[in-house]
Amino acid sequence: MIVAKPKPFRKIKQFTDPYQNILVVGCNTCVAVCLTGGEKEAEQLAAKIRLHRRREGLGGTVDTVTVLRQCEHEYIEEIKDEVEGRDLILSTACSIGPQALAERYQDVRVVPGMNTKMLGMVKEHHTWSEYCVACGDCVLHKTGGLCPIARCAKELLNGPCGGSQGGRCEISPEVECIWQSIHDRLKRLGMENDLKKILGPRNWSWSKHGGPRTFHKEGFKP
Amino acid sequence: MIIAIGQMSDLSFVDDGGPRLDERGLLVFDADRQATTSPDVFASGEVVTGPGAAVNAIASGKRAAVAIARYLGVAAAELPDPDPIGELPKRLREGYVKPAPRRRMPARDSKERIEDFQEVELGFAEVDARCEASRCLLCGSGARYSQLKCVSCLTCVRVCPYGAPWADKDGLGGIDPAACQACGICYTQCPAKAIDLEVRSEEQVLAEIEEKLAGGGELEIGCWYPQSRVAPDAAAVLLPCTARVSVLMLLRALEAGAEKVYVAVCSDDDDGHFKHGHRQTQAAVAEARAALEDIEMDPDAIELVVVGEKKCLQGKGAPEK
Repeated sequence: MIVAKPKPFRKIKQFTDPYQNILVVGCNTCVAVCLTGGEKEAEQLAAKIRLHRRREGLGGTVDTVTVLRQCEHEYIEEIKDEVEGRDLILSTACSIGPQALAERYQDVRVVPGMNTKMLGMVKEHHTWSEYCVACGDCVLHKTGGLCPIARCAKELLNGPCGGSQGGRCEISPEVECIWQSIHDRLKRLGMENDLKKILGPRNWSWSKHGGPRTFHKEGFKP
Repeated sequence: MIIAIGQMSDLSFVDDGGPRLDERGLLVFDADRQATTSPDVFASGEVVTGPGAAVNAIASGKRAAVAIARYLGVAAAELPDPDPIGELPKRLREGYVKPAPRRRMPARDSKERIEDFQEVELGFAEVDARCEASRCLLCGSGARYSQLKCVSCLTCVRVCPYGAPWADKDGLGGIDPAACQACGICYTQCPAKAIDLEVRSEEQVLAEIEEKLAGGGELEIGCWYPQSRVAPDAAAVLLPCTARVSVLMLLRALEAGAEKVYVAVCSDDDDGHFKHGHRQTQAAVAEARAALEDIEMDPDAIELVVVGEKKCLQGKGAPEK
């Protein structure tokens, strides 16, 4: 899932203060699941903005609407009546949401309420960790199912490095050394000999380094 | 045994030409159709059945509503017998739900009461009545779950202290009404607003907050179990557990003009009626106060106050008298 975190309110108020008719748009998919931008959070944020505006004497209206996914044209089409007449849309989706809204509602300013952090999974309630960087060329079959691109600070393909101590990474004792874990896992599977194979250079053009990516799936199109 | 509850139906308003009464003064009644002898008058409850359990009167009222709808030619849903709530799950019987000793109703001494027909039971003092009422398990008043709005995030499964919510590999889920204790933690935490509460829904509570703050002033949001309020002069919105207090409620109270919002919370699990209720409340208040700091409002506009020891909680009550 995409994990996103709300921008600090000092940013939000910079974005919203100059406008009078504001729509906060929540997204009930990834950011709802990571508890930061779903319907509940969007309503809370709107209430907070209204209180701030009243305190500052800014007036105006701040309403909310939430769609299932802001990254789908059909869902954001559904809110055209709510968008009508607004001078600002504040999206609490990942960064795809504001872009999708800006594409559809070209005459309304759209601003992000969130910073998109990572593709991750929940470790425990209220904690998420990065598991994927969408590099475009998955190597998990060579690394015991654990990703060194996303989870090694150096993105090493042949680790660990000298900064691995006691299973932790030198950048922080909180960070697992994923190469230690890869070793442990391959050993458990009786595959430690695989570690003797040097993983060669990757083709990074399949990652973001090759420019913006588009994916076409073959098949029927209406 | 002579049942003498000292109550009877007052049918003095039924005049000639209205529904017929029998020789005992009861309505002549067709139980299959909830009908009286007047085609456009229907009846239900103890006025036709005589004294009985309230739940039977409620069921009878629902049947009458269906009969009236049919009479009016309005499509009415059949009333299927609801699935009975089964035996309390073992994990709940053994430790999840606090045992709640009953208070014995004070009564006149038997030697004394055989002499007359005066009332035997003397009635509870207010404190005991409240304690006795607080033994209610709030069956069916807890989580109301919407599969349509659910985003299958598992939050409720992770936060419920009673293991009531469930989800399968397809993301289909639900909340076991027998396990739900109505504390409200799942409602407060649900990010997609797929969970509300049957009794004291969010809409009701927000409306009550706005109504009570119509003239400004202070507000206390507390649980309805303690005997004493933390801000006796403030308007009060009382909930089964302050775990139900959402950040939105607190901010909306300030929007509605509250000068100050007190949230009365238990000190720990032992003190509280519900598991973890105090911790959820603390988290919601902390989040709302942080929001106030963000907008440069005094965070003390929302204040968490730990209520003193409560004497009428399940498992902590005064012994039977």
